[in-house]
Formats: sequence, structure tokens, C-alpha cells
Amino acid sequence: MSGPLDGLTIVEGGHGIPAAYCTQIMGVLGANVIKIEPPEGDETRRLGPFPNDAPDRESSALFLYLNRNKRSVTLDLDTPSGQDLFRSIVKRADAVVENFAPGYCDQRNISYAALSDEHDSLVMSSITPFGQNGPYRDWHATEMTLFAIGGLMNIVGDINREPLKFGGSPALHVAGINSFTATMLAMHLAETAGIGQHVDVSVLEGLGASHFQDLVDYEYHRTVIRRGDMRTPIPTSDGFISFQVQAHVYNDFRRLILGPDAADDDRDAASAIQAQQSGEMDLEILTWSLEKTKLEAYRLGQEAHVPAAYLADMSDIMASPQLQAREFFVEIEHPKAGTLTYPGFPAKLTGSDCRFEPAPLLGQHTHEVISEFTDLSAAEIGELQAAGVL
Amino acid sequence: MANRLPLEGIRILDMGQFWAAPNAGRAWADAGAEVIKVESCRRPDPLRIQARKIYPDNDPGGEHGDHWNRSGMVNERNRSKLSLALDLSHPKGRDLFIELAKQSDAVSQNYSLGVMDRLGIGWDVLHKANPKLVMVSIMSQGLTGPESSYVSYGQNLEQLGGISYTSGYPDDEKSSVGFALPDPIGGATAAFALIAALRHREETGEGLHIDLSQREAATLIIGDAIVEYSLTGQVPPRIGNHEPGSNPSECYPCEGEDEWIAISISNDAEWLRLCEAMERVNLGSDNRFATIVGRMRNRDAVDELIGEWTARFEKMELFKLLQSHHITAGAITNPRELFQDPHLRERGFWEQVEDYSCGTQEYYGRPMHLSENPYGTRTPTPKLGQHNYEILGGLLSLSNSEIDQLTNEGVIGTEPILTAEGGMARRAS
Repeated sequence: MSGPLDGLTIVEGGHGIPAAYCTQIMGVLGANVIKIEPPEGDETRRLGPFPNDAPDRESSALFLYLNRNKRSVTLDLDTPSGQDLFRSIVKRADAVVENFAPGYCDQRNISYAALSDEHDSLVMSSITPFGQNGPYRDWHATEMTLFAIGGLMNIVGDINREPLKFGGSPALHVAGINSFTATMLAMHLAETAGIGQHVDVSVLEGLGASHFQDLVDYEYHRTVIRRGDMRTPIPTSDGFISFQVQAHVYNDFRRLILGPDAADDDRDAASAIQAQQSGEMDLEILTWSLEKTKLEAYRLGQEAHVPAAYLADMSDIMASPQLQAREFFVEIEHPKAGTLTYPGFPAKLTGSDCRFEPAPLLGQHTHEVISEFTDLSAAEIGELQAAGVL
Repeated sequence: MANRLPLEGIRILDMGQFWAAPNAGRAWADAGAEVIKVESCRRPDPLRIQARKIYPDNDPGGEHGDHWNRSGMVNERNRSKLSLALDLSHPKGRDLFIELAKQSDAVSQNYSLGVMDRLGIGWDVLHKANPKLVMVSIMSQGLTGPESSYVSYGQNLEQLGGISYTSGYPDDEKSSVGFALPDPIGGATAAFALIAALRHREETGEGLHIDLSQREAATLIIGDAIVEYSLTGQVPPRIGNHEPGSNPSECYPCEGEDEWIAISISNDAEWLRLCEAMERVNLGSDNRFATIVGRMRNRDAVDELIGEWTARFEKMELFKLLQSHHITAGAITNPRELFQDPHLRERGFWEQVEDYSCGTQEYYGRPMHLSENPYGTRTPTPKLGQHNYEILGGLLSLSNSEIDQLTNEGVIGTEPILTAEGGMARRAS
């Protein structure tokens, strides 16, 4: 079997998460991904924790995860020789996905304008915090500050405390996904009509497009929603669960907690649910939940048709019978980091394979890729390596 | 040359409801696909009539009394589509759907497990009718496995997928974010998966079925935490607003009630710039704070110092001031401020739409921009059943009288059929 992106060659540049995540997924689906790293390596190589607390640029969990299925080429883009090699590689690729700071590529003569001069149908997808223009273009940002500016911190957390960001870096990952979609659409135009283009992906706008209701609440009737009291999950004997009780399952929920003989509530569903949420059944719920494990409570809730969930940490997730049954996890052997468990791919495509190769060592494929993509001889490549360009 | 849209010529039947799946449908529709939102009068998108009701000026009726066409949550995320209100539980409705599937490239659906099969339009049936069809099933937990029949909303999946565990106040294990991030993630994942699958179909000539688990898509966003757990054997701790490598990294109060600014200082030089901005240059040489380790060990003192200073400023002014000193900061922005944000305005992120039943409204646009073939909202969210005649007449060549007959039989329509309690005819499945 083959993957949907077989035959596509993607060059990745930059540091950190968005571009790396985008091309990582492309690699899972079959694309040939070449990761250009500076001689000292992608900065995520420095992010721990590391095994035995010993920093090792080949054993960063974040790097290993974000860079599966890629070949690593080290290039010093601050030198004209490095820039020239970058252009040579791109000339034979379908797309560049990068998240350098705005202006970085212009200063190095590897901007879209420069690259497309030699490659008409090139797609270049640039992911930046704020996009390629506008007053904030060059401003500094991190995951947290983008969550703040993007309006999501305003509604996450407890109103009696400081606003909260989400754990991990969902904003940067979502930007990677958005870049995937846009790059694929652009490559489709390149493949079918020979049109190349520059794709401008903004992390901030990805958050702006991830609101559930507070934007329309404001647009439709000028109501500004803020954080609420944080909904406290329900304790069980070994962790926490929660229910999403909607009107049509409210009486199912009553029977789950109060027993199968409990009569239907004769109030209208909305006010009954409101009463339940303000604590009316708390004692009964606790009596029920504290005797059960979180997994038992989750199953009983779901079997009673009440949307239920448990607060899963990483060990719970890896032990999940559902995720195991779907073979969501994959074991990947890496020459330095050893055999580790990784999440696979969240979708199964009939007649198509996913590919899971380990992340590359720093510069592991420099020689191989330069030989493949340029007409340089082994001696010339050796000279460039001696000069520190590669 | 007229602007060619990337998905021109692709037809997609979008049975998506609620949030995640309709968002994916909008991504394809904006990009030029002909996306037909398939609902029925007995079972319209629940956000048309159920759950939180958001109407212009809080008025459900408007001029025409069609409140189901005035729901903000539907109108925000079903732009650029056509609407066909077809009763799939009626044998004629089912047959018409299959005829449409024969003329379509893809079907997208997020019903609970088994619903499509019970309606007689499962993958096996559709694949047989149209071997080149691509179908994406946007499931809570996938089509297989012991929990595949479980029903979930985004907040459930946030907990099951591990996002909630990693998100919360470090000093309060019970605190749990409840936002439903898996919805936008699931929608964005479905959007790219279908586009990739369409390419695969071009290469192989074979249709395919995408079995997508939103729970897994949520975990993938924090996948490094799984690898970290596998690497260290330790469950990664919850770190609140602390960003790895940044000290300090927190939200600080500003002038006014519940106004905040987020500041993230990634190195000693940036700390010095902050001290300058605070007009406290002497702090830059204070040994307690000059180094990363010092700021980590004296985190409470650092936070107090900064918080006392930020509280004297209006957040937007402070945001600009800090950025002018090259300090990483962002004001916690509410929807009013977000709509006014000068950067998003200049970028044209907000799209003004003349809604069919809601007047002029603004919605978020697309977070990606193609230089040569730009795309975005093409038409407003359709009214329920707005394109019944156009679709059945145009694609299936039914005559007006045949379509009238289907209307009389209740197979198609333009108004929801509600139960006496005002709920939907069928229980959410």
C-alpha cells in the first residue's frame, strides 16, 4: 500500500513546532520531508526532560515526536554557500514549509520571490505568529501570549483567579495543521494548473477561528463572555470524572445516580439541569462516584447514554483499552533514544498506509541529500563540511 | 484569468452537525468545493434550534419568524455551503441521497456510531454506489474499539485526550479547563485528512473511507507528552502558565476589573529590557533576579514585582509599551477587543457577511492566505432547505412537480418539525 502524499518532496525550515508538526504529518502520510537545521540543530533538540536528566540533542521528547519520518540536513543559512544549497534543494522540491521570523528569508535571499524565480510552481508556506503583514508582524510572541491576544485566555480558567493557557502548545500545533491544509490546496493548484504561490499562515488567526460561541455572542447581541467558575470534576476512588448532562439525557442521568427506579423529574429539563449544576444532587453524585474507579464511573455513565469522561493523564491514555484496541500507539526504535511509544495517526484510511520512521540525528542525511539534490561531487561536499557550511 | 479556487469541481455532501464537522465543511466550501449541507426537517443541525441560542439582538423571530435560520452558532460555521433538507429516514430520502452520492466526490459525517448504517447509507452502500467516493467519518472515538459507541462532546474529549490534565492551575488538581478544544482540532484534522485522501484517490482511482477519532486527534496535539512519559516514566506535571524555558511566564493584573497581560521572558537580556521598561534598571543587577535560576527560585517575588507594576497600566497601552521594548507580551483580549484589534483589521481577518435572515454580521475568516488564489467566505450560511429545488432539479434532474411532491410528502422541506416540547423529533443520536 501507499500513502496519500507519496511522491511529494517537502523542505522544512525554521525552529520549534508549527512547521515541524505540519511536515511531520506530511511524512506520516508519505511525503519525502527534508528538514534543514542550522549546524547547532533545531532549538527543540535542547528542550528536556532528558533520560537520566542528561541533556542530549538526540533525545528530546518534543524533537523526537515532531520530526519523525524526516531526513536532517545541516546548513548554515547565514552564509551565501548555505543559501545557495538551500535554493538548489528547493528547486527540486514541491513545497517549502517554514516558520522563520518574518523577514529572515528576505535577508538571506531565500524568500518566496527569490525561490520562485527558479521554480514557477513552487509552494512556500510561511507560518508566523501574526502573519506576513500588519502592525504586529514583527512583535514577539509565545504560545501563551498568542492565547492571550487570540481571545481564548479570556474564557479559560477561574474568574476568581488569573486566566490560564492550555497545557502543551495547542496553538502552535493547530497552526501546523492549518498550514498542512493550505499547503495541500496550493500544491493541488501547482500539480493541476502549474500555479505556485506563497501561503501566509498566522498562528493568531488560527486561534481567532477556534472560538465556540463568544464571538457570535458579541457580534449578535454585544454580550462579552468571560471565564466562569471552573467546573469542578467529580472525585472517584482513584481520580476525577465529569458528565455533560443535556436535556435529552437528564432523566437517564437521574436513574444512573439515584437508581433504576427513580421517577422522571417533572420540572422542565432546563431548570432541572440548572438546579443539578448548582449542586442539587451533589451529595447523591458523590455517594455514587466515590465507590467507583474513574473508569467504572465513565463506563457506567456512557452505558446509561450520559456523555461522561475521566480526567486522563498520560499513563491513563497509554493504558486506554479503546486506544490500544485501535492500535493508536506505535513503537519506534531510535538509535540514540531507544525504543519509545509514540502516538500514531488519528485517522485510519482504507487502502492507505501510515509511515513511522524515527526522527533523524542532527545532519544525518546531509551528505545523502546534497548528493541527491545537487551536482556537487563528494570532494566538494567535503570542502563545504570542512568550512562549516554543512 | 479569473481566480481559480483550489477545490473547484469537487462536490461534498456534508452531514456535519454541531461544531467540529461543519467547520471542516466550511474549510472545503471556502476553498471552492461545492459543499451541500445535508440536514432534515426532522433532524436539522442541532445548533439551529437546540443548545445555546444566540440570535441577533436576542430576538429569535426577526422579520420572518424563522429562528432556525438565525442561530449565530450555525451561521458562523456553515458559510459558503448549499443546504438540502432531506429526510434520510424516509426511503425516498435515502434513495435520493444515494443518487447524490453517485455524483459527488466526498461525504462527511459525524453521526454516532451505527447511524449511517441504520439509515442505509453506510460506507458499504455508498462505496458500492460510487467506488470513487471518499468518505470521512468524524467520530468521537473512531469506528472501532470497545468505546466506539460512546457519545461525547468536545469537553469530554478534552478530558479523555489528556488536554485537560495538562491544563489547569498547578496548585489545584481539581481545576480542569472546559473549553472543548478537541472540536476545532477535530474539524481542522478532518479538513486536511479529506484533502489528502482526495489526492490519494487521484493517484489510485479508488475511493476510501477515513475513520477519524477526535479523541486521538486531541492527544496528537500534545503527543510530545506521550513520548516524554515513555522516555522518563514520569507523568509530565501540570505547569499552568509557565512556559518551559521562560522565567517569568505568567498573567499579571492590569488596571480595571479582570484585566490582564501575559508576559513571557525567555532570557536574561529580555529580563533586562523588562527592567528598563519598568524603569527599575537597578533590578537588572539584583542577584536574586539577574539569572534564570534566580528568577526560578524567586518566582513569587518576581511575580509580585511585575504585578505591582502592570496593575498601574491599561492593558492595551502596556501591550504596546512592552512590545516597543521587544518584550514578549500579550493582552488578554475579550471579543469586543478582538473584533477591534488593529492588526486583525488590517489583515482583513474579519469577514462581513450579508446573512439571509440576520442582516450584516462579521465572522472570523481563514487563518491561511494564498497569494495567487485567495479564498474565503463565498456565500452566507444557507437557510434550512434553501437549495432543495436547485440541487434536486439540477443534479438529479427532477421536475418542479416531482420536487413539489417530495415537499408534500415531507421528504424535503424548509422548516424544522419540532415535538410538542419544542425539542427535535428524534433524540440526538
